[in-house]
Amino acid sequence: MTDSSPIDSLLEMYLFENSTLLEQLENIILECEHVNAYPAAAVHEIFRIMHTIKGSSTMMQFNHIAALSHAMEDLFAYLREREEVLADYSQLSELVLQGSDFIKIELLKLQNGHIADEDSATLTHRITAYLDQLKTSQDPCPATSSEDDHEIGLANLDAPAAGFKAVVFFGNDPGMEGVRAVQLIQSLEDIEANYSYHPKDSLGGAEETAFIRNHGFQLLFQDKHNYSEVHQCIREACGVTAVQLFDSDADSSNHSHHNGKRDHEPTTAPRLAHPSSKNEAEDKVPLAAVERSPMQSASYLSVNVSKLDELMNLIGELVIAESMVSQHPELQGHPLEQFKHAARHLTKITKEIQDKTMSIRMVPLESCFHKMNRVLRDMSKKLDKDIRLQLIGEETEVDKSIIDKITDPLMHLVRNAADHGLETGPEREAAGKARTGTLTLEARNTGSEVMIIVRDDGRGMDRGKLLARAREKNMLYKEEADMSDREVYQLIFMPGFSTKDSISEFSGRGVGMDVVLQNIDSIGGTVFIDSEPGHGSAITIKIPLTLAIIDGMNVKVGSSRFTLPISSIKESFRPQGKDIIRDPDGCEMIMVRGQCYAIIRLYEHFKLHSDVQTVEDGILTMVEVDGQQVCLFADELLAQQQVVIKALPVYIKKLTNLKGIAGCTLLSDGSTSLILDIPHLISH
Amino acid sequence: MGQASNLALQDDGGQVEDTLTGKFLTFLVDQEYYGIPIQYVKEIVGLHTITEVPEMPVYIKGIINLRGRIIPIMDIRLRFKKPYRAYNDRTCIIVVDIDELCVGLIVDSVSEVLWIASEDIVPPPGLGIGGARYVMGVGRSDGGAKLLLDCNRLLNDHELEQLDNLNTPREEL
Repeated sequence: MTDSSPIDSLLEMYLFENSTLLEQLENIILECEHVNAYPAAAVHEIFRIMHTIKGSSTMMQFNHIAALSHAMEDLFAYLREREEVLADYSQLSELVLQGSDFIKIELLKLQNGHIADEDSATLTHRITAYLDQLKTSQDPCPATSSEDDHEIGLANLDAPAAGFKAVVFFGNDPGMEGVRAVQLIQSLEDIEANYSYHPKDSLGGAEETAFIRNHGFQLLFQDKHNYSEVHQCIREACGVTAVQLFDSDADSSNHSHHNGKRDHEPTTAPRLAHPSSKNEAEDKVPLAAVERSPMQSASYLSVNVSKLDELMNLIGELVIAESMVSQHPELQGHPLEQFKHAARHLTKITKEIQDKTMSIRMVPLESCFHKMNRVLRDMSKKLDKDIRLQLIGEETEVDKSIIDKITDPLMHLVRNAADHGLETGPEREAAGKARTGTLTLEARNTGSEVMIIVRDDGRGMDRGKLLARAREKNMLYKEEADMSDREVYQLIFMPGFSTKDSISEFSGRGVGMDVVLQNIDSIGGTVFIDSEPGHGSAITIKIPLTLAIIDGMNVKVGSSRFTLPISSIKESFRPQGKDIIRDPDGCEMIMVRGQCYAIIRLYEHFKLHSDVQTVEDGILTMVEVDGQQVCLFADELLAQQQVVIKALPVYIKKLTNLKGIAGCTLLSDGSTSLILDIPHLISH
Repeated sequence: MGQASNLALQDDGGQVEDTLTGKFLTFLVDQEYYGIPIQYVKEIVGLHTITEVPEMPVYIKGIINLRGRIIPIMDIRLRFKKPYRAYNDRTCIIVVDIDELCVGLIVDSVSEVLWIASEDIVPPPGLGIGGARYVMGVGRSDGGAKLLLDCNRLLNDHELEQLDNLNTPREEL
């Protein structure tokens, strides 16, 4: 949502709500574009979104955003009434997407503490021009201007005998009446669509504010089916001191106050009903985006992520504190049946709290994947390639902090795949493939980690070409012949590898593939590439499910403590001296059930002093990552414990680039232990 | 902890920012008194269990857990290339915090907090006192001279001790 910079809560809410709305908007537009039709449901939904954005932007006095969303709202209000089918929706989509981009950038500016000062006049003007063009080009039915519209709207308001009228007074803070009225309208949006209000532009100025103060803010509702909810909503709204409810009579004095602001026209149809005049085919278009649009409801609560981070830290402390108590050395050797019973109960509850907290932080990858839709759309337009995006497993959940870190690298990989991986239409046809290239985003949960795969069915990678380029740039770190295909493909992640012929506007804000790798590294993930020339490539990102807490096994080496992630341990055993083999280089290996495994002596590897140097006195732990095993030699096993991963202090990292250590953690006796980076040890 | 010496020096400009004036925490390392500006000192704690971290310069003894925070520990004796001495009950860890960098300094013992006016601070003579590279000035006070340390250098000046790292690709957490 936002960083820790002190943004007042109103603005924070504004940013959050509107980013969500814009995301919905984008999804709807893309789906509509895909089927080249704008079903009524979609038009309604877009209208609603724009209306909401306009309302809140007006309230926050971001006039440029308000003006732009107002123009878009007008456009869709027109489309909604006319229910006409345009021959070509691409121009419309383009305009709306540009508008949404504009607002997005402004929101970003606000989020970073700048002011939203970009002038939206040109864009607003273009939208208005497009609307005029629509009006004139369509059948010569008199085009109703927005002013006429709401005259009609108001006239209709008195008609339904079924409705009622509410007059609301905001008594507590003089001068704020206008803002309070806008807030009230916003809270009503969710429960009732068919109403109108007066004065129209409650933020207009002193005149309106005075009117509300003296005569009350007047709301006219079309029907009574939501009477009680509406009543409650009004009574609970901010700053309301008195409410009068009348059954609608003809006294609603038609103050005409115009400055071009439209009100919410009453539509007697339910909000998402399809008008029958639509052609059948369109009705059948399933618009997931519209159906998905989450109704703001009381059962959801948006919480600042930093609070969750703090909670997570506290839970981490709690886990440690709990094991400090229940495994306290002073309790050793005492038969404390009752205590142990109570301690077990505490352990269980602690574990449950921890799981629950973790699950709060888990979010599906869906939103991140859907962002790629937009990226691809722009790419395919610019590059003139037909690209289809296929999503698999978008419901897979990962930690919120991971999503934030993974979105940019993923976007880069998708751009890269579309730009370099997929061929143009003619090329594909020549190669005997379908003209439309397919890009697949797949997410899979493998238990301890999540795999995200970006797969294209394009031209694949050319080993020879990559090697030639690496030679040119002097980046080869071993004999070409000795390099596996994967190692060769991995070259593209080396800094400075990207070359002239791959620079395009999509090479992305100066972010190279090396930065992708860095970003993924920073969350403890790994990336590898598989490719088949002529058939495409697949880039697989593996990331840990969570960054916070793992099950660990603590081992002792000299005076140091190390922690191994339990998920990587296969077995521990006391070796026999006769099973140890040394190869000519002095590397030790051990035979276990007919298989040979390399041995890493931790005290040697980390240059520590340890009294346990004979193999029989220590213990071997076999660890496995990605199907590769290695045996680690330590003095003794200490205990299994849930550990909270903490980063090594910055100072330590600055001093040396410590390899083989993934972080550190606190043990139950209050001392610290170093978490081993098993994948690194194995690749060593 | 010693008591703050009551100096009749009034803070006339309200400028506490200048590190060459004001209060210093003084401590003893190998018979020499040193001082560091008090604004960097977060707290003084007794000895904790230190976990050794591999591949560190010799003066970085390791890390400790200070109420859930992991803090690196530097032994000032070793930093000044003085002989190692076993820790005893006088040994203290001074936790300093400079630009978000939190480090614990192991000293023989902590002495007191002194007010040293800027006119009583002279530039270092450049003699071969241990750790001369980290001395930014010598402060005169009733109890004799105190070597005032440049904390920034103390923490961040590693050119001479940089370990040779193998040319392997960087891997970080």
